[in-house]
Amino acid sequence: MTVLLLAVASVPPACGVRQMAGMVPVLRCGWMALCIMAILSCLGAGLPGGIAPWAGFSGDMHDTALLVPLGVVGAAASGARGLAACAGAALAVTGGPVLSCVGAGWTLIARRDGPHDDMARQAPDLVALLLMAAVLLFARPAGWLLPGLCWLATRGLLGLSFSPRVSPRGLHPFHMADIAAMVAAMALWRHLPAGGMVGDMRWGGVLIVAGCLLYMTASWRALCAGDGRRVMTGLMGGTGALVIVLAGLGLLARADDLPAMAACASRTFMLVAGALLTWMFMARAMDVMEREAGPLILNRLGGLGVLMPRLSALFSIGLLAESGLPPLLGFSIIWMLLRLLAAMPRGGGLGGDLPLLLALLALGIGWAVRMLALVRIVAVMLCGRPRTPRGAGAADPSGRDMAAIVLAVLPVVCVSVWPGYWLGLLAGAGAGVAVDNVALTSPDGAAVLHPARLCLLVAVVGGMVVVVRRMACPTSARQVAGWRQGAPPVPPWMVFGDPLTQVGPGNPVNMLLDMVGTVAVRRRFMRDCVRLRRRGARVWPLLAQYVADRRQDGMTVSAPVMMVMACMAALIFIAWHG
Amino acid sequence: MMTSFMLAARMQALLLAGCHMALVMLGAPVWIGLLRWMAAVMEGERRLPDPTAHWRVLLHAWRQVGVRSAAGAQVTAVAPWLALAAGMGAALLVPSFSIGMPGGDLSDVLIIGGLLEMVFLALVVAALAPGLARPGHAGLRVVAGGIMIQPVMLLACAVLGMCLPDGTLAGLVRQAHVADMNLVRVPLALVAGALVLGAVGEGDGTTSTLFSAMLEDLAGPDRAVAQYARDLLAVVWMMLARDLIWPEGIAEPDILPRSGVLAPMLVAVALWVAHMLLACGCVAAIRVFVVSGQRHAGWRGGLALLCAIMAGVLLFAGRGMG
Repeated sequence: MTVLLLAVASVPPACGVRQMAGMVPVLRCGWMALCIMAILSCLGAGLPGGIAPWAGFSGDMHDTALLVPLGVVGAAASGARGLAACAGAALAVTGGPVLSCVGAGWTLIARRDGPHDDMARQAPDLVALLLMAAVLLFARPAGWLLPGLCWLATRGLLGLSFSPRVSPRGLHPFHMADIAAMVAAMALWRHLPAGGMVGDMRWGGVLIVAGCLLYMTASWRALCAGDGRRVMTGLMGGTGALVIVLAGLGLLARADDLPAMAACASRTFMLVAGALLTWMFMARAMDVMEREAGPLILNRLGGLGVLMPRLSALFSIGLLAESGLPPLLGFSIIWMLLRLLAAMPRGGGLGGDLPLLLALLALGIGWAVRMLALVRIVAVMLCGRPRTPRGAGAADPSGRDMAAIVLAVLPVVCVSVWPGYWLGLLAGAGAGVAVDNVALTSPDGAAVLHPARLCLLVAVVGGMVVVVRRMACPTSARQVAGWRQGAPPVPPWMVFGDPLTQVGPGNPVNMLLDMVGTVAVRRRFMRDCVRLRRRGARVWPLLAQYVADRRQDGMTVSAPVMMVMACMAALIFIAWHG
Repeated sequence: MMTSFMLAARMQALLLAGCHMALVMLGAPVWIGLLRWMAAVMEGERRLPDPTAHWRVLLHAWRQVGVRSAAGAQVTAVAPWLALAAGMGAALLVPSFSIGMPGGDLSDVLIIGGLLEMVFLALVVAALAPGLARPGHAGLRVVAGGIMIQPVMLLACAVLGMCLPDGTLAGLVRQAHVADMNLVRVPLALVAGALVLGAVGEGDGTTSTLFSAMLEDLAGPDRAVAQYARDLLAVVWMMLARDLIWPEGIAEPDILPRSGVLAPMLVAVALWVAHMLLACGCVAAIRVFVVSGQRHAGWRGGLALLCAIMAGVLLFAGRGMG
């Protein structure tokens, strides 16, 4: 299996992009074979030749369960970047400590937008990966630093940022390579060895709080982005933030010796891996949409729900799965996450419990903003009327392309309805044990969620409503041209009605900001922030100049100041280590 | 013997679900009519209540000729019915007078809230689909104003999950019949208040205007269904709040063989009616006296979040004291 993997992985760098175009079908077949072998291996079937442990590779098949979603993503990838990123992610999944970091770095480089993308922006992530590999190999006493290093190293892979700004540099368009990058990051977090108990507890709390904040900012970026692909990048950053929260919960459970909670966190982690299938489907659907309707710039799109009804219906399933509403996979993830956060070990008293409330609040606000971003996508892309002739020419794809999209949505639906089987498969439970795994349970086992029953309930009630509708309204309603609310007639050059008056991409953000404060208050706040930032930026050069001046005069910093600073540093160090 | 017992239990569950759905579906417009009357009376209007007035409005809308805007017609034809289906699914999961209905193990607040959010979003999509200015912007304003229900829902689920082992409404009712609920009654009441504040826009003039603007491209049965789905949305949120505050008022079907069949059920139905009347009064009072005015959406969201956080703080403080 490793030989096949290496063969598949070594093709993209071995040949150029032009040669890659002809090899794409072969590579996709290779990834499909890899996925089937990974599934067989998870089901406990013996592969011919067995598992031959190689130096530097992980010999345990349980560690390589992420190859299943990665194989699906690789089989669906069509570009050279996506395939190269998948190869790097495969190395990160199957490799040992060093090869994992090498694979993750490879993925990080492969997913760049192009030669114009600044390499210097990825330098901190690559340095963190190098340091992580070094700590994993040589410096075991510094193991308590590993979660922090892993956070820094996977920051670019997961698309994490505390910045709410949407800039072309910070928010790149969403492609299949991003999903491979997320698999690589998840593999790094999954392979992370245990540090000390106290260090893991501290890092667990930090990661949970940071993950909730990152989820909020990623949702905000998705709400503000002006391009469909960048909106998806923001939403996927939210999924990446959930990976960080789950990693923090796992560390906390491990440090507090709570095996049930650790198992639950691991299962939720694998549900997030299942959510990558949704992203794979969304990437495929967006490729087809872009081909049919032109660049997915929100200002130019509209009415795709009418122009391409079948693809839009399937796309809506993906959006529903990402939204966290019942009954699809996103809801199962939110449900499990909520149970995990409620089961989190907390300090005594109100002070120990307040962080949980604040984390839930941040997560909830992030979820609300994410939902608004999804409503924005539906309102601007799928609803309304086309804004340009290029967009108005869109139509449902032909049979073969449509079949590929339907094939891509099938795993999403299956994992959503039976997430227990997916978890059983990735846990290597085998075919027989997976049958007992239909429900999702909370860490204490008291709360149980049956997604299949929920889907059945929705289907039964929906069927009843369809029957009632057929019986009560046998004739369909008459369709009339829309009234223009007294607006003047449409000018001849504006062939598609009133594109400027229908809901646009900027409206939801402005409405949300209007709820927070008036325009004058917001402007004043922004002005104060900019002024504060300028003053802050002015402090560091002044300080450096001051120190330089003192040195030139031959004077040193006074001993008491040095002592106080050293004591502060020591106190911080002691508080961190307990 | 066991098979016949199981069969009887399932028949009983189906019968209870049928009665519950009939009660809720028939009662939803009545409660909304009463709520609007209460709000009008509190604002100084003097008139007698007419519980069937809203039913008549809905029937009138149903009998009109079905017309819809040609733009986005495929979406507006489906969205109101989708909202109705999601609302019925949520109504089935929130017990009114008895537990023991099919799907009782799914009566998690997160599931119910998610289904109700689907109702809300389906109605908004019906407004956005034609691509016209007024309905679309009204829909966006409504969705931006009501989106804060999600953090409230997460906090409510967390609080409920800490009060109960399984976190479902059926579990809450069972626990209320065997244990003292006074320790958690105030947090649960605050959670209920937060949910009603964040989710129920009924009785407010601005929200009603926005909703009528949202549906101005629909006429006939589709419009009637959309209006009904919105009524169902408000009523199910109120029922959920009532269940959180007074879970003792709901009967358990296990006690039926011991004390007759009809009497406890009728008492439970009477209690439900009284509690829903009280809930309508509370919602109307909140709308008239607490959150009103043009910037009510932001206030509603903020106040709901505050109530949910206070519920958590009170629960943790109570545990710390205990």
